Amino acid sequence: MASSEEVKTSEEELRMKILELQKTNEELQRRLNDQLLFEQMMTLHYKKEKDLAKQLQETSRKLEEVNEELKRKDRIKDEFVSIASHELRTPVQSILGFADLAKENLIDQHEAWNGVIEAALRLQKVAKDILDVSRIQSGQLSYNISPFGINELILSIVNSVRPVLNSKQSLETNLDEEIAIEADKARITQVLGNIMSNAIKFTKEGKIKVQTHSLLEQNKIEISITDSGPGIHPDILPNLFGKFVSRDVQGDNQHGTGLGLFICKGIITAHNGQITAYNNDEGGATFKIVLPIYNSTPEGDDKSGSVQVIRSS
Amino acid sequence: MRNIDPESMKILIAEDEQDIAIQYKISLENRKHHVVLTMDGDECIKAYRDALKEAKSATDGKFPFDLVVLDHRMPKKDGVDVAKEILKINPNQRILFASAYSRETLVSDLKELNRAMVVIQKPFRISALVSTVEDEEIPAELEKINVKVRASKDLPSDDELSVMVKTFKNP
Repeated sequence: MASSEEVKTSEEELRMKILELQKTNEELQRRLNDQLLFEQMMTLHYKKEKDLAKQLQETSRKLEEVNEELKRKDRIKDEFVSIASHELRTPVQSILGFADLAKENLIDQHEAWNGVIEAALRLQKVAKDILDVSRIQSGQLSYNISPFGINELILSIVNSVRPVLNSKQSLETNLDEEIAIEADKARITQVLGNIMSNAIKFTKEGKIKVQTHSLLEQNKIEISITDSGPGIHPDILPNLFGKFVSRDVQGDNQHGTGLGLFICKGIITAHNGQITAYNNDEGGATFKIVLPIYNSTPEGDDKSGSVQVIRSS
Repeated sequence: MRNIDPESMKILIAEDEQDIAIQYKISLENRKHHVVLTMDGDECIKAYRDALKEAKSATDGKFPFDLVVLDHRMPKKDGVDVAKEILKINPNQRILFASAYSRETLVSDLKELNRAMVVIQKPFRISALVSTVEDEEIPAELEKINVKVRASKDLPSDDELSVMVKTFKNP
């Protein structure tokens, strides 16, 4: 039998051990906690690093994209300058040639002067178109906006182009009720005149029809110019309103600058309108222009339906 | 050097600007050359092949044109592509480019032809065209550069091409 003294000692020892174990346990717990905390911190750190790397990658990809876009724009600009200077030099060649031949008496004087005048007019047209294109591209073409009747304008353009028609060409109009639009009259005249002249140029024999159709529920007017010519070559149709695209791909030299339709699109877009072109099933081509109509009695300050943005962006 | 009394040459021209084509024809015919006018690249190649067929049937074995004058930018086929096709048929064909493009565009476009070319840059005086056509030193100078180009198997350097463009731009 153990004495009560002995029991006491072993109880004491046991308590000490338990205390020791508790301490060790606490220490281990603390270390584990530290370890867990450390791991958590590391995970967070790696995640942050990963996120950062991802962000960097994204930024660098975006920069590359911007760079490519700038390079592309630079190439387009170079190409424009190259073709533009080509288009300017060509009529100068024509003028020099006529002058040289006339000087040497190798050509009839009257013929030479006519050639010089024609080439000089062409030079002027190319220069004017190039200026318009560069203003449209930089958003610096300014518009002088006022309300006017669209039918009145169409009829005056039709009358001004009528004298160039030959006996095998006809020009008809079929117009809806007169409606006012608010726009730059001179620029809209330029667009409609250009499209009508093209229609006449490409319709050696046949009919050109100018129609208007008001889309009152949309506050818009649709103007369509339809010809019965050969239609637009499918190769150039997708890029018809681009720069230096000429419908003369058939080798039919018509002295176009290839800039007219680009300018038309720039002007119509700046008026919040649309211009489209397609080939008709029955032959020939149609150009369609949609423009907002002038709302002369706006409710309050609401000017929807009239031109508000007058500069292309 | 301009030949005072040049031997009559047979010249094929491709030029889509009617005014300019007729000016070339009048001025070169005035110098007693024979001129065949074409208005685009396809027509030019067709005229070249047709003339070749006729020459072969005449069994004189000679190439039909002493010189081909090419515009650079033309409908259907541009001048560089026409030159490529003609040089495939006759690698020794003398070709003169008359171009309204800037020198930079010319030099880079002509590089792919892998030979030095005579280029006369628009706008030029009609007398510059006639003297370039009749200058007998030009083919010899070209040949010197082209021998080097063929030997090195490299494209002509920009410098070599520039020399050609510059030398014959305008007297």
